[in-house]
Amino acid sequence: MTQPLILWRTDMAVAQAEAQATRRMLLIDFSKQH
Amino acid sequence: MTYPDSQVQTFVEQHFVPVRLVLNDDAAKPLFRQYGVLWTPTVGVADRRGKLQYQSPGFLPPTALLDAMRLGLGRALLAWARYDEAAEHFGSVADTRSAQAPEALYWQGVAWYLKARRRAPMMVAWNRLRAEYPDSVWALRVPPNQETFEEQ
Repeated sequence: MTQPLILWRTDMAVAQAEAQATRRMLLIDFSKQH
Repeated sequence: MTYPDSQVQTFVEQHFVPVRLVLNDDAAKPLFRQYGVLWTPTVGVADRRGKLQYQSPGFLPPTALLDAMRLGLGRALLAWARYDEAAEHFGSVADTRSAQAPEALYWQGVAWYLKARRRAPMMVAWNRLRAEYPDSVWALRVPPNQETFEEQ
């Protein structure tokens, strides 16, 4: 599989601060490691 | 998940702060409960306060995932009274005439109503919904006693 280029954040608090600063919404990928 | 698709990547980078929460991670696990996420994979759209505004469970191919992300973004923007931006995203999904177009037309009508506080703009979207997708569950959500509304 191609390596995804999306830079996923893993800390919600950090992501929320970034969303606040950029007026963006959060896209949350809820997943599970197999 | 279909994130390697370039259109999906571009949309994510343009419109979202992307967060990945993994159930096996002890730090992330409580968030699954907090958000009421019962199944993986699930894609959610939350606002900057962390309030989840939309959930899309399961796998979707790239074009359908793109539509789900547009719908989710539109719903979140709607909750923040950013009606024009929301309506634009709903319109993009509606124009694809995809499986998610009926849902998009429904919410486009809501966005136009909330912006104008008038039924006429809403009924433009809802009449299109009833005309193009009469068997959709979203068409059923339009009150049945409303005849086709002539815009004044």
